[in-house]
Amino acid sequence: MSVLKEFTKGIWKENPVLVLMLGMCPTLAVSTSAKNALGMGIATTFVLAGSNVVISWVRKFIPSNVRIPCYIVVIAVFVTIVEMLMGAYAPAELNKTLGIYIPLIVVNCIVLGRAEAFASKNGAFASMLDGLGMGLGFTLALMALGGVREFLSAGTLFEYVVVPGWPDFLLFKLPAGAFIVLATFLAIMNYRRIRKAEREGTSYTPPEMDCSRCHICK
Amino acid sequence: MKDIMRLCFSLGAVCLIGTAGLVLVNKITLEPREAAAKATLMEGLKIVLPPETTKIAFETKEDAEEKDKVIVMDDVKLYRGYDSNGDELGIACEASVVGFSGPIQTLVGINNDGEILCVLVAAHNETPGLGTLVTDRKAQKSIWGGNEDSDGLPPNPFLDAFTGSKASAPKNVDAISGATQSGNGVKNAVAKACQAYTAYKSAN
Repeated sequence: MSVLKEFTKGIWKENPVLVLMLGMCPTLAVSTSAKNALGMGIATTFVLAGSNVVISWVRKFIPSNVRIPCYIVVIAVFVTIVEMLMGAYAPAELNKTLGIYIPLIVVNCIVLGRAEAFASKNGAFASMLDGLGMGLGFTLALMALGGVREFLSAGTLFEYVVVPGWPDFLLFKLPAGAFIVLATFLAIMNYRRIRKAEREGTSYTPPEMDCSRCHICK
Repeated sequence: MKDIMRLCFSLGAVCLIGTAGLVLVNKITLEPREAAAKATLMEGLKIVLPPETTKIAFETKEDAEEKDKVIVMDDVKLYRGYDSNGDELGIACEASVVGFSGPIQTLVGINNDGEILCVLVAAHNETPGLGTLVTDRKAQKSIWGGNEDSDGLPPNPFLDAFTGSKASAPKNVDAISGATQSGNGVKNAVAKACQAYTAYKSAN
């Protein structure tokens, strides 16, 4: 697979949120506004790329039976180090904006999912590209969700008023609104894919859901 | 048995290396992190105390002068603010109460009449977009312009509702949907700060 393909697959074809259905918890919780989505996306991309590289380096030393606990330890250590370094050296404003998303990443299953599905089988450079692409895909999906939710709930985008006098529509700020918007996005994605498969005369199988690529229960 | 030992050794080694890395980074970053936290706290104290405040008592050393010392009452820290003549203008109370995810460090500024001037959340780990409804102060801007008068402290209806009430009986503010536990954390922190303030004032 070419270098560019490694990077771009996470953005659309294997988008972690809309196709692989990974990281649903932060997706639903943090996509209340476009700004939150962007903050969470940047923090996740950084950790994803970094932890993928570290796991790719250590993959040969870790026995396969204990690989998942080892990956969790590596990711948790990496995230804590990033949190400490940001607290110490990042400008106060950046730390205040991004700092609150960092602890949420430890439990983000995209990071563990990519460590297991990609970084544990590929080299450091390819793993870093995979992490960056997946992180970018996560950020874009989260921003699309966050933008729609923020607009519908308050008539604003990135905290700027777009439609003055928009009534407060709290539903879209609460988890129920997250489920409604995410379900609509997924329905549109699946409809497009099914139509495409029909045109090609095949049937649609969601990627990585056919058990052929997952080795967790091997 | 040999296999199990090998697995234990590998997992143990990863944990040990990880812990060693964390200890090292913690040691290196401890001082800068403390300095950054102190700077953020100082900035917050300046906001909650009356604007004429020029000096804030920030000393924690035993041998410091009484006027420069931070007072600690039931784990609430009381910072006294003075004007340029050395007259006390008010007290900023720092109280931490657990909200939805971890402690919410709340600052409450109280003037000499025992009236709450301003409530500010200095540090928290609440969920962005939900818990932050009651913790963050954000200025609303419009893409259509008219953002000139956005100077000063941005509003937050929940935090601003405490302003003006007496520290001896702080106002019971209504919770906000989606941020009930975070709101309770802030409310309890304000109540704790006010209690400490009242206890300090009645003792002096």
